[in-house]
Amino acid sequence: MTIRVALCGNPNVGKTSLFNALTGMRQYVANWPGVTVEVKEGVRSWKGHQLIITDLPGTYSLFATSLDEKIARDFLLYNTPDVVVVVADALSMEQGLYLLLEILELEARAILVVNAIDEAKKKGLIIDKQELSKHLKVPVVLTSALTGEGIHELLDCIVSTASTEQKKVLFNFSDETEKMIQQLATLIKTQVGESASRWFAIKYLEGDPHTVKQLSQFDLQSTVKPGSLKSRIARERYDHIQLIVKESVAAISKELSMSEAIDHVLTHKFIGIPVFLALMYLAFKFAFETVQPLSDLLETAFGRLADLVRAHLGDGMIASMLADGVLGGVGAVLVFVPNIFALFFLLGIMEDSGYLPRAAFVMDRVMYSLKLSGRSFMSFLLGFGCSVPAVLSTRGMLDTRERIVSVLSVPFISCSARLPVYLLIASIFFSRNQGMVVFSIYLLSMFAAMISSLVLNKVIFKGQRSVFILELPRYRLPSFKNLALYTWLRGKHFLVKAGTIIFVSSLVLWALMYFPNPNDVTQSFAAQIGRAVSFVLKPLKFDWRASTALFFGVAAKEIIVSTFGMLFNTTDEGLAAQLSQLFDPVTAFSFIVFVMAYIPCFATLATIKSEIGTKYVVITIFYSLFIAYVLALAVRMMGGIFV
Amino acid sequence: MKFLLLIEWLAAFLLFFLMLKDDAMLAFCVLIFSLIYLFGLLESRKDPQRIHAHGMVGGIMFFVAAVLTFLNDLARFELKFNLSRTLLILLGLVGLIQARAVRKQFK
Repeated sequence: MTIRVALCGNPNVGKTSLFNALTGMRQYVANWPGVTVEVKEGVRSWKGHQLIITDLPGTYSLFATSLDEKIARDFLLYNTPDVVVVVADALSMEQGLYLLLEILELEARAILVVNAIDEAKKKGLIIDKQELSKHLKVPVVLTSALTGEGIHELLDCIVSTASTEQKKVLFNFSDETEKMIQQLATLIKTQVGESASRWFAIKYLEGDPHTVKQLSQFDLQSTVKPGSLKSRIARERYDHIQLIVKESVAAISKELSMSEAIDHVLTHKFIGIPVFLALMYLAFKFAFETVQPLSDLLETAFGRLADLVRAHLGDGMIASMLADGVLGGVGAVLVFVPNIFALFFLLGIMEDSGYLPRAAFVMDRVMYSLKLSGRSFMSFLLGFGCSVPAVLSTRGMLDTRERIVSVLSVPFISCSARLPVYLLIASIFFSRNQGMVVFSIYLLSMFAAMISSLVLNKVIFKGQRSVFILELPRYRLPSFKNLALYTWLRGKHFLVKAGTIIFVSSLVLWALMYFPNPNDVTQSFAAQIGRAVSFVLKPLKFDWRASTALFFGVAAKEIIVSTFGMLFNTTDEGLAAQLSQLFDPVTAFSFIVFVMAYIPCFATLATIKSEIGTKYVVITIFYSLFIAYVLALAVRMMGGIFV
Repeated sequence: MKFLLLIEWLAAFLLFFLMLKDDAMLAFCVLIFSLIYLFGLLESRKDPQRIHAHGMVGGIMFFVAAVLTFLNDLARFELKFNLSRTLLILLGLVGLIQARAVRKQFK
């Protein structure tokens, strides 16, 4: 028998961990809300049954206000799974129970899972599952996705619930509210069917915009105003939930918990932001200075390999293609693998421990003045890894204006693809302060994204400031498994790119540099393209070689390094010596500032297109190019004054 | 606890000046972490848990700074044992012991 199971719950209650434990899959689990922005599916065989388990994005209610909440709601409404598993956090069950009461209105076969039971036990909380089940009239399972406690019991429970007959378990509102719901449900029964009519009636009375729009064909406004019972419905449900929790959960003392104690300091209004910046600086110092000897080793290894190829194959086309194209191009990018993995490892510790949402929380004050919320800051933080998931993460934003502004500003955040360019330039021109220079570029990128948001909000999108509601996750010791998975998944992206896009681009670039005259790169096709572009970049003092690198770097930023690797390895002089002749320190810094801000890669542009439309892709290209030009010019001019 | 925080804050403040010439950015990180102790000193004595929270988090921060600095020196084969490095490692070790001892105060 095939059983279709939907896994839903509030954000960051451990749905994805539970999904992994149930299916044996390895979806990355973050310790912050809003990680799952799309539906994920996994299959598990259990006692002769095939369970198709769907992990839905986190939602606080079925009152879908953001895109990820709408995805979850539409799935429950229109895909009607056999069993709905509602996951609630053992340490704050109220919001999870609210969602359960809403789902029960859909007359679904539901199971309540109280997750993180191990942490509840540690804090001296006792949860009486029989009592909970008695009040809610649904099976209750206590689980810990971390230790695996209750997972088999949950699988058994899913199988037994799926085979039981569907029964109505509805929450009874007060007489007055019930009367209004019944009246309205009768009116819409003929259109949507008997079972869903009550759900639609409640949603209409709550003022759910999608339901109000759907029911606009009926003349319901004369009977009752949409949203007229919104606060009453919520209050009655919460009153009921508080009674249930009081009956089922043992009381706790007033002492500060470990998380509260740490939060008292890390979200402090005066030192919260400086501590965050200091920690980020230490992370960058580790990734770009401490790990540098490993990168140097790799660089030497690729150099030796290229020499070996030349020694064995001579000076022919094949030798040039392998030594200059493949080893020079791809190798120039791969030498930065240790730095990138080290950075992701440390960011993983911050994320898995639960610190990053606190960073979003403390930055919310700054973001609020830019008419954004801490949620945008979380997208910005994701952008340090890759702009694609950062753009996707804006789906959780309630306000369309905020979403568009964030999508247009996210590409300014320095993604890992730009890192090799910064490291290459910093190691040559600022070797004594490499970590500080790269950190300053990251700070500048954050600053550019924030200023961009402010300008867009003031000039184009004039709207209200949005409110940021974030449930802070508990602190936890990062698990090595999760940390390794995080580092690998983020770093793998870089390796895959090196083996695919960068490899192919390096070969194309090599061909463009090799032909028509293999002995003179200045006459190559690539040089001609670079010269055609360079007149625009002349005020920035970027010559045809820098222009060529920037031109091909639009596809993927790492290609800038590959291009330099190939352009300068064609002579006897080393890359560092050649680049030293190409740039002075001021031009070098303005070059990395330009790289930081100019046109995002093709993958990001494609994501922007699919998320908010083609119009915004065009805007992004011209807008980012303009900002990059202005910033690089400003650096050049200021540098000219001081140096 | 407040006395210990005062000693640690003074030591951290001294460390900031000692490091300023060699590594200004790291010195500023130390200064920021020292503020955690300073704000702990400003907490009311009636709420000892909050004072302990500053001791615990400050201790962890100094431990992290000490470990990362040690690893950085190790990677460059430049193990330094001057006054500033010794003080940083000392603050890190005391911070770790303090954080482990103080954590028992919380649920």
